[in-house]
Amino acid sequence: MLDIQNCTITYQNGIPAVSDVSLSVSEGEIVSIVGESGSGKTTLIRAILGLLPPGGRIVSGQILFEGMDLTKVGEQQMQDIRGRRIAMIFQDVGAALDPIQRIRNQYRESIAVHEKLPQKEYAPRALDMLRRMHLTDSERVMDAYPFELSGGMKQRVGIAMGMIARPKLLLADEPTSALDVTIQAQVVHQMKKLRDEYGTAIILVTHNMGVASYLSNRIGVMRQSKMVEFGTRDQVIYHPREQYTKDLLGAVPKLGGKRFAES
Amino acid sequence: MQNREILLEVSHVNKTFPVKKQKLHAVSDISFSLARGEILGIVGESGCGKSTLARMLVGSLTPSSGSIALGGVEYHLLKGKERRRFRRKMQMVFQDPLSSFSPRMKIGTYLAEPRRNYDRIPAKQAFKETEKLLEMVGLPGDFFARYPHELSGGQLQRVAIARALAIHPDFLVCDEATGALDVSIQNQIAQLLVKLIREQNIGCIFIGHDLALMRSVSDRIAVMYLGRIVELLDSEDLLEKCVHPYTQALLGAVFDVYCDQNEEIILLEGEPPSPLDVAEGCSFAARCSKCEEKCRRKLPVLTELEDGHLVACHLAAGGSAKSRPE
Repeated sequence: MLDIQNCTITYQNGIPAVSDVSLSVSEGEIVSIVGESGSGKTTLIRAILGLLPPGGRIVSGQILFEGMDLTKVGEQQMQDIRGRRIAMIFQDVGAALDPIQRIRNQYRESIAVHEKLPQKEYAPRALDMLRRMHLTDSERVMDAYPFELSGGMKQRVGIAMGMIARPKLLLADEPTSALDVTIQAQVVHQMKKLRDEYGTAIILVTHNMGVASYLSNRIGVMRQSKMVEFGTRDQVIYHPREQYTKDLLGAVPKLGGKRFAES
Repeated sequence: MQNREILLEVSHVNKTFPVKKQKLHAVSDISFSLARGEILGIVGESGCGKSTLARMLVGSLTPSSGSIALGGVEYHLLKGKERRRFRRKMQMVFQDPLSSFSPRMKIGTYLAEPRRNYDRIPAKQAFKETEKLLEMVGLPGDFFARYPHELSGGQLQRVAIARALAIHPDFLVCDEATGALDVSIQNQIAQLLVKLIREQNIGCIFIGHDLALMRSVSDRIAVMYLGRIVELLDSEDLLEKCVHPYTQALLGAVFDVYCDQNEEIILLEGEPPSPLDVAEGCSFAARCSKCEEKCRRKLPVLTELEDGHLVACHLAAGGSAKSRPE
């Protein structure tokens, strides 16, 4: 469905932040991109929707989405794709929500932008989505301002809002990094359900190997702007080829692992 | 562990903050002790009061009631010069290395400051010592001439540790000291901390939320929920012996790299209740899957289950909740 071919992206200084990266996602598949900070994983998925920060430019390569090259489409057409066919959720959803609008209004806007629906169908649609996101007392959430919600709730409201137009592809940029472990588990559970129920394909950028391992069909490992390893989840987790992947896996603290404090 | 010298004694510490006309119970009735050379891990979700506790331990907040004694001295009662002199005995390492450094101060100046400030030694001598400090934390000695922005997050965290240990404190509080770092760096810093604490024989409180990391770093783990310690046990026994449903839920929420993808996640529904209106009974009752009638009525006290293993749960004490959900 999405096919990134030999993509190179640079910022103002001319040094590539992403160099010669290829990646493909099929329908209903979850692909994770893992790597250290600064390895270019966020740059890569931002480029898909043309949301690179100022100065960022795709120098070469193609990003094909259902046969259309996203690096060549105009802004007008891109607007059409954003949200409706490819949605994105960010690490800090709190900053993405409007602080002076109730959640209800923000849903209204995001529905109105993407679809032609009679006004009175907005609220049921949003409520339905929130309920699917396992948000208890969704009525209260609808009438709340963002600051009244906790981090985990905001993240789930954000995912629900991203999913409102039933996009085929969801780009998730570190959606669980700022959350507590128990809330992280809820969000991870949610994403898995999205895929299972709607067949949404997800590209997940994360530095949490455990989450990537639990959710993904395929995993890509990025290091210093390059994709050093890309393969099925079992291949990358159990039989990594690259030394870097092995090191990365070895560095993750494990519950049953060795303890430093043992004396 | 029992024979070691007890360094820090915390007993029945409470901290409440006034919020409008209500009281916010940030920390309630916490007691524990810390020996020399021991690392105590404190885990809990955000808002459970672990940072408030940390700030009380280093003396920047005064407990509402209860006592904290270091080497037998209740330092919250000290005043003026005495208090200032006592402060050098506890040091802290913070979460975000870059924001805890002044961008205009060179690493050397930063490292020399505690010695100049507390020991009043001449600047020249203090600067000479910085090289040794840098080597202690595994950094090249010529780093003293650099500015913080020239260092990576992991290197900065090493410098922060060096500064904290420069004046030989009695104990160290690490508030999510590895939280902002990449996994590979995180491990190195954790290993360094353990090594230095053993070498210098000081006590350490290590605060975090990653149970897997905490288990590997600490000797004992205290699990906090809504201002209270709900379980305290040896890190080694964490997996096999933990009995509190909250500890088990936390363990269930850790994603192992080698997990089974088809395994259902044990979900803890909802969020921790607000510390403003703490209900009667067990604070975890609303989210607990095993909650019984008595849990809602009576607050469980932290009781010793077996040697060195304390738990605050009605069901655990009765033995009925002992089995771990698999």
